[in-house]
Amino acid sequence: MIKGNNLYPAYQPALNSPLVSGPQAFFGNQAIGQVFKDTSAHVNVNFQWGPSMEQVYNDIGDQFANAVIGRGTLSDGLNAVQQSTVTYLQKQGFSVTT
Amino acid sequence: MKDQFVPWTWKQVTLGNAVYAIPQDSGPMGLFYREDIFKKYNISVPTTWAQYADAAAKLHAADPNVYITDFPPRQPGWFTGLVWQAGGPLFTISGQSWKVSINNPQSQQVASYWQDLISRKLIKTEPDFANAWFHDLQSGAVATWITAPVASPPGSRESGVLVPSSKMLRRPLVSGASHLCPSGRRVKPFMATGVALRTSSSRLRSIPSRLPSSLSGSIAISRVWMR
Repeated sequence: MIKGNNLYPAYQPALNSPLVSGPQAFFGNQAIGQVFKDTSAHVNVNFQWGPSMEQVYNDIGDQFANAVIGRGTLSDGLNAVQQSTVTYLQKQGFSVTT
Repeated sequence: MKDQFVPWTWKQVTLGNAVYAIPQDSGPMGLFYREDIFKKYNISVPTTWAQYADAAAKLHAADPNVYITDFPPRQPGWFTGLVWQAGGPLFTISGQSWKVSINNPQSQQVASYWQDLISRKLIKTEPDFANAWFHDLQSGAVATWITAPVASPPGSRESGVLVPSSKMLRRPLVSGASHLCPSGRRVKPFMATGVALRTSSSRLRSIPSRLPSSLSGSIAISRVWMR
């Protein structure tokens, strides 16, 4: 079914293929696909993305890049992105609540 | 058809009864760690976030050149994976409005956890997928990497096998997914679905050739624990 492996499939039968879920020599023959298969089964299915993820990600990156050199904290950064996201969505014409 | 796909990936491509894409690639995250480094310093592989912070301190005390991991400041998809696991909603829909909660309590909990490690200088904070970062992975200056299975590099040597953590996740980490839309075009993940970026970006695909074969047999994987 699978001949090369640069993906981790979402298709369940592919997860059971030997290439994905078999032992991998690089990892000391650990069947690492099994670890990820178990993990996949428990991921929260209800995570909701927003309409401006690109803006959110850019803003988080900017804030965290400052935080790691001591300009504010990660927490400050999240508060700033909360505000910038509300402002951005309002400018885009979305109805926003917090 | 639905039953053929990992449930969370199916939810990403559906709205109500309508199906908008076919899930293709996905990025559940695990803890990639250097078994040999943990053994060398006689430090147990962590099975809780608290133990992970303890191990960070022990490792760095044992060798000031070794850090348990890197916090990549400009990798918000990675951070979002941690918030997703913690159950923090960045956005929800409230009637006809978007409710924005980027700084929800779970996000702040995740931020505080990493801020503590940063403030105590127990982790690195360099950009990921940069030369220095690759060097740190290769030289053992960084002992773990919490990431998705696309990081699996090829290799050939055998070594010890690790039993995954006994304290398993109930809500594991996930870093992203990509999907095939009806046109057959593979869509940039977050444009199509709002999903974090990692698994289908071209730079990530270059990883397998860049993780050095010298690490063969040194890396093991475990699930990442809940708080």
